[in-house]
Amino acid sequence: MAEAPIEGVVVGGSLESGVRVKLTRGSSEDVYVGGLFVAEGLRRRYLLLATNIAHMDEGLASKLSSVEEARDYLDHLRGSSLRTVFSAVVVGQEEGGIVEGAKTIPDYLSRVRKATSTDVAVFYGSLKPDEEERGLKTVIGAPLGAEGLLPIDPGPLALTSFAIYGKSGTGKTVLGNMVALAIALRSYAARLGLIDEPPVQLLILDMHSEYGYYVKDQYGSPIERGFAGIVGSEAIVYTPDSEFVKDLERVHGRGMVRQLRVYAGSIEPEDLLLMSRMFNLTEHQQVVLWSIAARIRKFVSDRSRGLLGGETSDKIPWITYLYKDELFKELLRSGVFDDREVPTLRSLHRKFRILSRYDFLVEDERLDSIGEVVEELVSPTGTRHVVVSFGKYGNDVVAYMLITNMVARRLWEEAERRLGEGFGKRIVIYVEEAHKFLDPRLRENSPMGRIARELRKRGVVLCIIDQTPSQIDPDVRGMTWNVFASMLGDDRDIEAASINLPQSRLFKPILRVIDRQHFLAFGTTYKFPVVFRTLDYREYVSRVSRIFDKLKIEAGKRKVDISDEL
Amino acid sequence: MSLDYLGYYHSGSLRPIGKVLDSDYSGFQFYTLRLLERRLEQGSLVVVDLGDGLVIGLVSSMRNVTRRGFEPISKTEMGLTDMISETGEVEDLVTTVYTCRSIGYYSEGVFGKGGPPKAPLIYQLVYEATDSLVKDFYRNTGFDASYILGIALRDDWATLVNHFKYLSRHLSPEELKRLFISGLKVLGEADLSNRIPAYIREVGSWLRLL
Repeated sequence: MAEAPIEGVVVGGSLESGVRVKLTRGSSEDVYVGGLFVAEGLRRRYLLLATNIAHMDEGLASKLSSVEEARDYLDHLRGSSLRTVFSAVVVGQEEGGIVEGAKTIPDYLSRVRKATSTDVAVFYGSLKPDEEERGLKTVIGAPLGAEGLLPIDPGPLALTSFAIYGKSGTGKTVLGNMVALAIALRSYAARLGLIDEPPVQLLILDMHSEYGYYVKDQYGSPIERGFAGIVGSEAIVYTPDSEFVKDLERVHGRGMVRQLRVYAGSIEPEDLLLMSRMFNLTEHQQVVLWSIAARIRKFVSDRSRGLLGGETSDKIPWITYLYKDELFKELLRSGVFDDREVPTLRSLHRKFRILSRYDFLVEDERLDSIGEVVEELVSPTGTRHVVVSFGKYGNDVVAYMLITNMVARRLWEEAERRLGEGFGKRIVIYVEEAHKFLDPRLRENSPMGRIARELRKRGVVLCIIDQTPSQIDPDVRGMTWNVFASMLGDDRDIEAASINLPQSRLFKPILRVIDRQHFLAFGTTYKFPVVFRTLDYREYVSRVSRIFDKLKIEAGKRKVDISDEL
Repeated sequence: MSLDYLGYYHSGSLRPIGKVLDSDYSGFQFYTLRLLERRLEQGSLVVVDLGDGLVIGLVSSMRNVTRRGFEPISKTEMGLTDMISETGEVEDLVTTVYTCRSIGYYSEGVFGKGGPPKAPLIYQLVYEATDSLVKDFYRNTGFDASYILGIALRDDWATLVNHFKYLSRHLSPEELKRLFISGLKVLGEADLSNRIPAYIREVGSWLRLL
């Protein structure tokens, strides 16, 4: 059903609480909470974002409900007798071509209408054909209740950490893929010299394999290839799931997929303590874990040097003594721990035994691939985006956390080691279920938290993807300069997601009712908060792929020209 | 282009039906010149010739009045018509007084809505509104139904329904609906929304039958 034109007039309100607009034309059904409107004030035009809508004449409507003919005249009763008023926050103003945040409100009786594509372009920027063709900006969606398309400028977005919040099934992953593609496209343009800025590399910790494999719809059916499948040779995909490698190779081709193996010896007690709740470690166990690790290491070292009359010189990683049954028995027989300590050891063994199921854990350091991942990201010669698709481990929180923490810690250590050196590029780390790594209780211990706090100036930022933002460290939330928030059920999450918004309480009703595939976006990229519906993912991929292909041809030509000159 | 209605009423081509008895800026009363001829419906429109303009009135009520000396009780078996033809006295001593609400005026060739700038004077002549005057009045004042406010305020729905019935003989159904909708808006804007259900029930339901 076509939407009727909407018109209204400003009848009250304040900058603090938002203005109230009486509908003079159109129905309440055509006003969406989150929709964009424009008020033509006396001196300037104002951008309004609807936050609530209400019928004002319940008593009359109730009386009219018993008059059979009343519905015939509904169109004529609206506005004068059956009044509908919507509240809207004034998010921006424009005067003489200068666009800025709202400093005042439109005068009484200012005419209000839906925002047109021209208004959208004035406040959110337009997408010049040249910018899209060079990969600098892409269209990401359409503003709710307004005409026109909403571009995304990944340049300012990737300068600081950003977040995608929303309940399960709201379309976070689709948006995440779209944003990743926009960043990758612009980065490719930067590498081609089409824009003067450092390229960006993405590290995507792809819990549910929707960046490395297929994006799925709400029923779990594949929609289209994920990020890595679209950017092709610009990305490399790792997976800890050996059985998933073949599936991924069918999408990406041989050589573009690698199995992720983690050297068990690189697991430090701190990696396990970060997951103490997953392992259900007692306070005592958390306290003694460091000392137990040290004593097992000494035992391994002594044995490898033959001091204990061992049969092997292999340096078996300390943690394997706690999760492998036969090694654990050997440890008990060794006499390293006295009888009083054995109950604690047995308990730790039971808790860490889950690690024995992980075929990505290897005892040979040479097979470790976390180093490869980190090297691709931090070395000046590394250019490819890295996607770690978890395959069957996507539903295993322990595996996901273990690998993510290990990658984050190694990346942090490498950044520390290279202190003083620039990376010459920016790195954006996508982390799903981010609250597990950015829990305020973990504070300084979490490598992901340290990256968020301390590596921004060196060009490493996070894309936080989560459905419970209230569980994320407020310090880290405060550092997310751009937020895309879809529906959130819990008031604490709504509060947390909207905390960086001016007049944040006015936006709460939006986050309670916002539909799936719709996001409230605000921050440095969208200076004026906007609710938009994401473009159809297939359509978006088609647009982005065309530009990628075009730029790749351009890159190929340049190579030929250079070789001709040589 | 509307007619020169002032000239038309001055020309003597229409017979007056009454004379003004009492008036103010909001309305007037007039008495009829003949008892039986041209009896008016409730809700119909009449015109008062002011000399330099016309006042348009909506008939809202009537009553029969007798002059002193008239014996209202008559035990003959003659009906009214026979009594008038038998004795001219009845025609002379009995008259009908109509009460009208001024809803518009005509001055200097232009129609205006609402109360007139000048009120009618006593003995000024009253005429029935012609079909073309009714049409031109509404068409030139934008089918504005502001004048129904007072009637709605008194919950005088019978007058309003009769008025619309009367107008249905002069205006098209679309024009009537336009006037009705104007009334809906007027009631809403004047904070008389509580009268809207009755307005729709009484008048709207009748309009639906057209």
